[in-house]
Amino acid sequence: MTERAAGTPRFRGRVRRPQVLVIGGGLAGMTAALAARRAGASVAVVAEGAGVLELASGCIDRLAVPLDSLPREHPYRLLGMSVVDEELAAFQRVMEEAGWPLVPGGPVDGGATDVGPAGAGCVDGGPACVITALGARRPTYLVAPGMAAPPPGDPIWVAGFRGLRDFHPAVVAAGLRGGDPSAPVTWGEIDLPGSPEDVHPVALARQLEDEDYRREVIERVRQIRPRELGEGATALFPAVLGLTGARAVQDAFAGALGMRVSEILLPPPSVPGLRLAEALRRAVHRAGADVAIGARAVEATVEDGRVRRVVTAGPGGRITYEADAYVLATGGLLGNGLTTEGRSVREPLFGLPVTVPEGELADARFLPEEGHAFVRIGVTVDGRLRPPGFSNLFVCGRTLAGYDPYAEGCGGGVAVATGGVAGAEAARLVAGAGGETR
Amino acid sequence: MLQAIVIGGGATGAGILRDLALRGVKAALVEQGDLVHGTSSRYHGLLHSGGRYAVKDPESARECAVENEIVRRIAPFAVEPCGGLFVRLEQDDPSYAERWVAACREAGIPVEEVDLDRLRREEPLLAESVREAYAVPDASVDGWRLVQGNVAAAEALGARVLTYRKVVGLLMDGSRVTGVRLRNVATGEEECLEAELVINAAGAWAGQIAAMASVPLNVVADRGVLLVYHGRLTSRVVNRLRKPGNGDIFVPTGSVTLLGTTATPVPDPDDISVPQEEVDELMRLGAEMLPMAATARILRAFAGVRPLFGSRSGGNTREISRGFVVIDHAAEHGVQGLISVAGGKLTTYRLMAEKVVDVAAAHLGVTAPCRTAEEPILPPPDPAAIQRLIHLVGRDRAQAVADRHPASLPEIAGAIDQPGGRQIVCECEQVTAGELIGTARQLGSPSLGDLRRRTRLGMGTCQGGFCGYRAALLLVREGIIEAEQVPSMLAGFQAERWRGVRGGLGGMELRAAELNYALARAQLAMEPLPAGKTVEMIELGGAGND
Repeated sequence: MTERAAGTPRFRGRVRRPQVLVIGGGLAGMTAALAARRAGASVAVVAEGAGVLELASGCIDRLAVPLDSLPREHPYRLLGMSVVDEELAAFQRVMEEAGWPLVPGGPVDGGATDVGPAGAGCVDGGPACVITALGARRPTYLVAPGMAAPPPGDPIWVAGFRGLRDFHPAVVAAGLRGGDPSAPVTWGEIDLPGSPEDVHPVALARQLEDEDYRREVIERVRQIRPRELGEGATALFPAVLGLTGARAVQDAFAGALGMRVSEILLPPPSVPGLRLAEALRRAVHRAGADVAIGARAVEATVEDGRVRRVVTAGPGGRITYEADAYVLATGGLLGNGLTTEGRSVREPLFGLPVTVPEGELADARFLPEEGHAFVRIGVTVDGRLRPPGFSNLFVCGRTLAGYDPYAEGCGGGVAVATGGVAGAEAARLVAGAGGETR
Repeated sequence: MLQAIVIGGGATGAGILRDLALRGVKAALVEQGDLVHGTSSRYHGLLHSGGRYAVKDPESARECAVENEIVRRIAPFAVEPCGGLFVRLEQDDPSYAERWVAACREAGIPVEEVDLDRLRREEPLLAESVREAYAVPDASVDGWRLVQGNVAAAEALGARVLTYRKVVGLLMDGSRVTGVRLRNVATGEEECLEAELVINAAGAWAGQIAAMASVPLNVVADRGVLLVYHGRLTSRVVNRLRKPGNGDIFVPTGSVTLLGTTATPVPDPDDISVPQEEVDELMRLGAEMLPMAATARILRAFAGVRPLFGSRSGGNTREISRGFVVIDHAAEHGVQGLISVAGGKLTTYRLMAEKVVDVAAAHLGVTAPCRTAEEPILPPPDPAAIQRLIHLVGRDRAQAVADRHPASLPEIAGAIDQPGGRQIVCECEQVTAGELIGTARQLGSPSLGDLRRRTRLGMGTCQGGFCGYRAALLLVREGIIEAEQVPSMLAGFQAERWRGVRGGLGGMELRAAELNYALARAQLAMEPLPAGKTVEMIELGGAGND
């Protein structure tokens, strides 16, 4: 609690009155909370959990397709790329202050860093990349600590832990070689202490924070480390090298092996995603927002386009929030911010109109370059991220309509940019209403 | 030298192969894809009581009534004897129901009226508008297991099976067919296979085979779309009691319920596309019987192509007989050495095989009688293997594994008993690493599709999103495939699964579809199917089994 900013209100009791209530604790909601605090508002966050971060890379994508290929209703078009880049920069600063430095790849100059389709790029001076469990180089923008891919051509040794689910170093190595048998990529595998048959990535990440266990694992890795590889080489590990203490664990591996160490993205549950969730919690806590996890917003009262109150239900019972401005960051279909009823899609808390693209919901191909229509389903908003008819409600993140985060490589960027703008807009509304004196 | 070659690895071809083998004929079966990749797995899985045909086609109805009992007896491993219902809704013509009951009695189909109170207790999801209901001995039958059983039995008697070999020509000596020219779809290599007799049981593709000998065979490819609902919406097969039409059959099977079908003649038997209008129509019609069908979660939509025998003139393929014909091209067209079978349905596969082999036997001078109606296809499962499985994976899952591998249980149980063999790879269908490895080792170098058809890998709620990747890693770990093969293997598997998911996409399935899409694109950066490659090309790319 010592990190709490002076003068921040604490909200107690059955009825709580923050100036800004953020509903949703994923990347967009937490960014909104940070932005609203930065603008001086008192903030409470209510969330069921950390959103879909455990399905995410822990890195922040910006854009992997040309800007002018985006549809008119795309959130980036609503905000403009200069706003998007300001928000990304602000996010990077606040995360660095919170001890979680994210490193940007490629120069940012208003859209000039756009690269080809996902998976194609990752060249010198271009966007940063992470390596996937298929050994693909996947472009991203703000890279989480220890996740940056080594440049193409550098010698790589892929190390694996036998028994770890959903990972095989040979498959990563084959992908990295990309059909070139002379590429300097090798792999090896160790038995973990006790030779477990089935190891869960999150459990292993936690175990590796234990110093004795880690020392034992590192010793086993050292025994099979190829002797010919020097300091210029990179050892790639599955992304299980620690959870909250990941940086120390990564450093310990690098120091003992005398090589650079980097991590490979695994299928969910994603340890890097959980690390980012934890870092966000720290940052928001440090900024002095009040966070209630495990509370689900179940009821909203709206009068004349103004949200009056939101009621949450959780282990502590029902709590009523009466705020001046509200940020909706409950996610999309995956995060349950959008739900289905029969064949139709709805936004369950406020009953906001949901835009479903006309025509076919999905392409015949599983991975079409231009993406799928059904992932563009969402709530349509104005340039200040307000849904039609609402004066004090701002919507951000995956709840929004008009983008395919996967094909466009923009999910993290949209969450951060719209979260930042929604939080700032909410705080601005409060300031304009004289909320500071409350 | 072979006495007979059977073209087609569906139910009819497999039934013919077993019948030939039981009569002592030396035979081989050739199939362009994996066994059962065509119509015999692309249908609703209904073992007809005959009720559906009673009014319009009494002969088919009688055949179904008899064969239904035989298949239950000889293939218990493939049949789920769930029973069936015919229900008349308020808006359906009561006089048709009267005629139907009489016609069923005439055809020897046991019919018993079901009290409506009892019906509502037993099938609570059925519409309020049900006015009459009758119980019939419908059942669900697993086309894959049925064929696998027939093939295993035939192989045990010395028959050969060559999958992923497409017939690209018939060997001719004057007006006599003397064999087939095959192309290995994996390698592109061609080979010739000779026999005294070629039996064309290629189903929807039979017309193409006949054309290679320049004889006419009018097979109409009739595409039917089906929906796969999550969970069992009914406990029995439910038919609508009115003139047969679209969207009037629900078949519960395993952990899902199928709703079928539509009937659209298509020029190309390979056309298994799923038009959105047909999906919507099925949901609308299905909801008349079972209101939940409008909103329940649809895992997939898929299509199969019925091989109807008849004239091309009519637009309504439901008017063409579901009966079958055996054509001895020597007698009909002066082409020796070729027999075709066309039309029919899975329920009567054994009868079709018997009639074909009767003709073949006469040509070959074989006098042994048909025994397929009496002899069970497979011996009962090995009790020791079952015990071992129960010990390894528990009673419920042991039963599921035994059902999936009626002919190779000891090998599968042995593989599950290896270190790591009990690890679950496909969580939805509870498929273990050992089951996959055991199956893969029998096949040599299978595609994920080959494994799916034999184990139900990827057929549950996640539709392969997670387990496809996991299974591919397992195959690398076991040295069954090379690490380099994983991306293209996954691309093919996911593309095939997507085809079905997309067909029924909407409602709750949107969420699952986004999860798979996100995993493939953002987490794994999976490769798309290479330009110019179709799902079929990848699916047919497995090496198959000899």
